[in-house]
Amino acid sequence: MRVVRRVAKDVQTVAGAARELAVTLRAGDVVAVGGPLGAGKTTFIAAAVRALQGSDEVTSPTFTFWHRYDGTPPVHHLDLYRVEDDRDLATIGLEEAFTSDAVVFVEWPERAPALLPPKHVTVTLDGSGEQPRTIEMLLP
Amino acid sequence: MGPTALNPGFVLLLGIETSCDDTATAVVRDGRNVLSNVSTNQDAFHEKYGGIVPEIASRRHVELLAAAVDDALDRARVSLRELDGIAVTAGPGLIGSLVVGVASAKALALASRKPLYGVNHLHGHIFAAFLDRAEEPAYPFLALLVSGGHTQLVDVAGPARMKVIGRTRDDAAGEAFDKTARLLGLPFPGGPHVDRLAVSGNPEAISFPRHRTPEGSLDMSFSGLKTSVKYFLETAEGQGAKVADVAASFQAAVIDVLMDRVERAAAAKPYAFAVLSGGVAANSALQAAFTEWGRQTGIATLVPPPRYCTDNAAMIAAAADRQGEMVSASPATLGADPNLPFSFTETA
Repeated sequence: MRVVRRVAKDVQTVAGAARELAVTLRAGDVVAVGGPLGAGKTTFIAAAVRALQGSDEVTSPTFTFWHRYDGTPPVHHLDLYRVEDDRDLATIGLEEAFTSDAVVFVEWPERAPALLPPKHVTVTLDGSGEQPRTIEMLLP
Repeated sequence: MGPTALNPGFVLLLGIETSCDDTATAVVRDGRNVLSNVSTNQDAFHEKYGGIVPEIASRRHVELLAAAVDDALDRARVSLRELDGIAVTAGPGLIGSLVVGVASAKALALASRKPLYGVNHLHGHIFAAFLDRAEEPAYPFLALLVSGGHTQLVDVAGPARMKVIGRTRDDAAGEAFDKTARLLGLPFPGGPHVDRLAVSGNPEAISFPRHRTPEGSLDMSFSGLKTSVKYFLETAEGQGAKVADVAASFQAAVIDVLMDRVERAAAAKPYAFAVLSGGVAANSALQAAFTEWGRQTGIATLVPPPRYCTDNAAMIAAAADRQGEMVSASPATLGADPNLPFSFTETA
């Protein structure tokens, strides 16, 4: 287990940390991105997807649960914000996103810890508004 | 070209929509007259079929859809045999949800030998504006589509010639409403609560930031606004602020950004007509701002009633009626596409 910590005073630095992680990711990897509302989870994932695929089209999947970005590797972007319990989870079918050929990012992972495979990268963002963000990445 | 009429003088389509939370069916005549509009989240459906439908249906669509199709046909007083076609949402959306609607529509089309139409959910939202209305779309028109999952400004040059000219870069407007509502301690779904609370608040009490884009772009962003509200609530000033003032000031910021993009789009191209649709179109202050803008500019504005703003199946039939052969699909090959491209010319 390797721990990487960064303090970001601006969006560019958050994106830099995401790129730093992205270059280490391979198909089959799962990244849980946690942190409070407004900490920058979607911003972080958008930068990582940009680094992986060059796609500039990443938006928040809060209402839609699951966004897919086709490319090499394909990226699945899940958001569990609206998931209240395991029963919800069972009806949505998000487990199908975890395939060996794709990289999967999960926002609000604490809403359904059972969804994640035991081996995954954990990214935790903290801070909001004008405050600097702390980014902690636990790499397996 | 629209679908061919089996019935003398009019076209009767069954609509099926299961792109996300709701299982919805409808029967629509001529893409305009709604004969029935069923959602399994409606109380009327519960009373008839019993049981509790969870907020997030998805796989529950399997259990609910057959009953919802029957209910739509019953309420419209038509039989499957009398239909001129079946229109179903083919995407974008949640794959597990979409496949249920698409598979059912294919089975119904095969069994009844009716034409099948695979419709883009977002096109449905745009044509929702013409349901139960006398107006027909006058092309080109401008459409602002705002919901929990989507925020797009669309140039509609023809029934199948549509282009996204502005979109959110991060959160949808409806998501910003919901997350702000949660910060304010309001229940889900937050949009209507913010709307009601804002009525008694001062929209100028707090100056939240308005997202700006570079010259020439009509894109939007609402993530920073949500974060600003959160940050404000953590300050001493925020802790003493009236919740209604925060709601009104937040709402004013969202509306300013949306209306700024609408105004700029209309300045760049002459539109005689503009549509506001999607779940957030039910917001009273946004409707008022949009309608007032239309009055001042002389652009005719159209906002569907709430039952056609939220996800529904009547809008899917409305789009299929106007898009006709452009969305005609084979019951053997139609597939659900979670990333269905917005424009017909885009390749997936």
